[in-house]
Amino acid sequence: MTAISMKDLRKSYGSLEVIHGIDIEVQSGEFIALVGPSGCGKSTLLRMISGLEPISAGQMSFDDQRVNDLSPAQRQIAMVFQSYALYPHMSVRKNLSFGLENLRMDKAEINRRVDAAAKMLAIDGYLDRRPKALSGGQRQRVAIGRAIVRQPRVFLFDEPLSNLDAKLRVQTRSEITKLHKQLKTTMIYVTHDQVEAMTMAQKIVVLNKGKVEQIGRPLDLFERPANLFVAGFIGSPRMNIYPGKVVSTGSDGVTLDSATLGRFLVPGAGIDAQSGDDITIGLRPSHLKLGPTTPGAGGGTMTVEQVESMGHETFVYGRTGQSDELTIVHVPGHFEAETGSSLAFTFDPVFAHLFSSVDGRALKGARI
Amino acid sequence: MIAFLARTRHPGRTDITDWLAWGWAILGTLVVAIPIAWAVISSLKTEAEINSFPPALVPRAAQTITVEGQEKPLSVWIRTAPDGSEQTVALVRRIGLSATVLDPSKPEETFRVPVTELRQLKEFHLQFSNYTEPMKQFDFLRYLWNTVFVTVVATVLTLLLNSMAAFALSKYRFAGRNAMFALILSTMMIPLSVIMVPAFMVIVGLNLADNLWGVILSTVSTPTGVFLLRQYMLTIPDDLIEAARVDAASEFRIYWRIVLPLCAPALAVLAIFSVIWRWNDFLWPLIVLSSPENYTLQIGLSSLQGQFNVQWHYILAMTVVTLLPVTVVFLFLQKYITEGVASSGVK
Amino acid sequence: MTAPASVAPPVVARGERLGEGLDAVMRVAEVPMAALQRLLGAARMPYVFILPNMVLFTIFVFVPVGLAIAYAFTGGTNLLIWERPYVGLENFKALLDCGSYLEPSTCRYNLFWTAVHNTWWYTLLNTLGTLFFALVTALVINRLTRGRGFFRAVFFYPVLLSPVVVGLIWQWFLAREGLLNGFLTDWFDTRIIFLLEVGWSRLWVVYVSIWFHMGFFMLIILAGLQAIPRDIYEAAQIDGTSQWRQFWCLTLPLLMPNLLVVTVLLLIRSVQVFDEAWVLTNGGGPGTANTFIVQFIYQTAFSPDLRLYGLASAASVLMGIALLALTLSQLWLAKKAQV
Repeated sequence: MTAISMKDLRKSYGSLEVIHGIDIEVQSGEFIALVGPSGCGKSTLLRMISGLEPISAGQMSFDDQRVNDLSPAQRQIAMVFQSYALYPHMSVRKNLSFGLENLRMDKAEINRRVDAAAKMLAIDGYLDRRPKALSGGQRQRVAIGRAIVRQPRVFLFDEPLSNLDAKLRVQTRSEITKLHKQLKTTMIYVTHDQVEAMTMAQKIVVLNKGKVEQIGRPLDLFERPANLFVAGFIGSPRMNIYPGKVVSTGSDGVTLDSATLGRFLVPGAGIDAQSGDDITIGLRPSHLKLGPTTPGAGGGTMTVEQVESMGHETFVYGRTGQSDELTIVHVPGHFEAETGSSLAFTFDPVFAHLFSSVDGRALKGARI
Repeated sequence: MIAFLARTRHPGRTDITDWLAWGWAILGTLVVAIPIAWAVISSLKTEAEINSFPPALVPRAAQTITVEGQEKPLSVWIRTAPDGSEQTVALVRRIGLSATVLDPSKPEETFRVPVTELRQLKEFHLQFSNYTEPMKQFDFLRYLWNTVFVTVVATVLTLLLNSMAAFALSKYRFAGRNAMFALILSTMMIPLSVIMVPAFMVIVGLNLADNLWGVILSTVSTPTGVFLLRQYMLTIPDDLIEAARVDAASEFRIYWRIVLPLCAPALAVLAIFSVIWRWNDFLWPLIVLSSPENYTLQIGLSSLQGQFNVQWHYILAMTVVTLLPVTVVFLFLQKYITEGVASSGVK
Repeated sequence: MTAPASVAPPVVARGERLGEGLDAVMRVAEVPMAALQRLLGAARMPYVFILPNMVLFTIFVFVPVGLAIAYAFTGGTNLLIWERPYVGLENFKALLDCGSYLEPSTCRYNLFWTAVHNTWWYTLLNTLGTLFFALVTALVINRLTRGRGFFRAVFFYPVLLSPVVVGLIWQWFLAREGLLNGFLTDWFDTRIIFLLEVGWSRLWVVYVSIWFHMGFFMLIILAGLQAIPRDIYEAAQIDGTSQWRQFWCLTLPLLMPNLLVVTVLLLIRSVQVFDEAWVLTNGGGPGTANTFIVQFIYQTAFSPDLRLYGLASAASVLMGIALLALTLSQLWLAKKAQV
């Protein structure tokens, strides 16, 4: 149960800086996810936490103790690799006990831990098999087991579910969450899949190009994204983005004019925008409804490009406005439309997210 | 627990194993390079220098000076007189422990000094005649020609025959295909050293003894060559060949115009190997060839040894000549060679 | 049509001239080939393609194998096999006629048994020595972060030299006036004529062999090392596994199949030692200290005063059997390594 503190962490390869000053505070026993697009530095950051990658500048502490110069083993962390990194020539039992043998633990204690972990992960039936005789899901559990037996202060997961098929992924996700509840150890989980992050983590760190975009609880990130990047990254399918202009501001909200969406008042106090400003409007697919625009609401028409039918819900993809912006509308239940047909949609302005056109900074969020 | 783990390696920092690794690598490089460098340097020394001991690091020869009244240039020495003064002198004649020398500024006056007072002056000198003499005297130009002939002809034939066989084995189905492939592979288990005596009988029977063609023909069909090319040809899509057949191309034309150009990389690797193997062949040419005018470089080189008076300056020069082509090939094509070896375990 | 489209422009011109030349050759060669095809049909053309190769293999490999066995059962000094008397197992019996197999001087053909003993010791030392140095060098190169390609090339270079060149370079290095003796004189005030002393010459024959061939085996082991996945080392590092334990428990077991193949290859090569040793010692000396089996066969068959083709063939057959056993085990091991 360890708290981790990262202050102004930087990482450079030669003259190329890839991590630019990251500050993150992880509470003891927290499950925190690091998400971001490929190349954002999340894996590098994880390796810096683990000690496999040296820290170029900044300070990392575990429970207020500086760990920059400690080796991975000295930090007492355990890591589950994307490729599992199981020792191919050793049995499952040996894979689990190998690390413990380094600590010169006595045999009985090693066996006790191995058996306990195996039982917890339901792999006690395979203890004498070699990794190549196991399925992907089983191998993954052995990798987790190897981490558990060490009773580390921190668990690190490097995209552990990427190599599993969809069904197994969902199943294993809940197993990892259950594990966290059971062990109550601090867990840092790297993934590129924001759905995984949203469902598993207590706190999410969104990374982009080596910088932190936002840290917060899943729902906070969803309802109040700090900037355009987070708004577009979190939530599937992604938020609809439209350009607009501020017509007038007042104590009850701002009136916007948009070529695509018409003119409407967005309610809200203290929105930092001036009359005449350019502004970016964000609308989640689930906040758009098909139908004509009622007075006071915003809306527009779209030319249908594609209809994705999930059975219990449908996503309609289309193009709107003069600049052919992509619009996605979430329709509950079953819905059909012809490609090329024209559909009208509308929305309640209270759900509009507003962002500065200058730096993408959020000006107003929206509750669901 | 933490104390025990203190010996683990820190990423990004060098520790003792890294120093050891670099030490081994550098030491190994010296072990490889020094004997070869020493041979090359020595090959440029004069005969006198070669036989002198302890060996000097730089090739030198005696400094000479032309003096009035003397027919040939005289060697230059420093004489240390009993009173400690030094003087540059030229040596006229030496008999036993007594030397007749003269001062170059006063060439008419010769005087005698004991040999112990003299120290020879040498200057940097590269004896290139070590390279040209054997070409004239010992027929090395002929050996070079023989070796080039064998290497080029054998390589061309190897590429031709092995690629045809590989083509047949990879792109056709015919009765006996697997048997023939197995037979060819089985020859890998029969090294020359086991069949060298009867192979010689065959050569004699074919009237090819003491003939360069006897050396060439027996080395042309290599199982490794067929194997390598076949592997590569298997990756050529059959559709290309089918299309050509539809276009009424003859099988030979298909082989020549389509398959061969497509396996250029594999052919290049095989060509490099073949050149190196044929250039370096020793035992087989030794057995087949008996008259000196047919010798290859390797045989000629080793025959220089047998002489009573070992002329190291010539031997070393010809050794350098022999290793130069392979070295040049290596410098330019090293990557292909090392990758080819690693992937196929080829000799 | 003949030059691949991906070749750079300056080479295309040369390539085109080459292509035209090759085209001309093709047109000439095509005439008989196309005629053959008309005669035999396209389906039988593969036989035509593979024929030259099979003919050469037959003449220069299969026939000699048969002849070797045949000659082994004949005696006398005539070259042609039909002029030679049949002697049954005489040659084999003669070779194997020994008071004690461990004492060559008690054998009828003590040179053969001296050669066997020499070859035995050489094989043992050469195999172990080369294996050790190739393994360590491969580990070192695998570990280096920079200059990998350079050092790999440096260690491999000697492999490309000819045995004559290697033998002569080292003979010169070890000569009375050579660099090593120069060094010894400077530092230790002694001089050793290495190649004239039995113990030293044997040591140097093994050393030169290792120097010569190590690079080749190093490449094979390096390939095996690089096939081991990197992430298991990171996992071990996180568990605090020491470098030594990582080598002993991870690298070595996973490299074992590769090392076994290398060992058998080494054994096969070592048994056939001749070229560089013969040149280095200028004939297998001092005396017969460095005479190996292949030299025995060569001398027995080709020395003008011996010409005992039958005996030499018998020795070849014996050696061939030993090599066959080793080669088969190498194939079997290679197959196991792939699984």
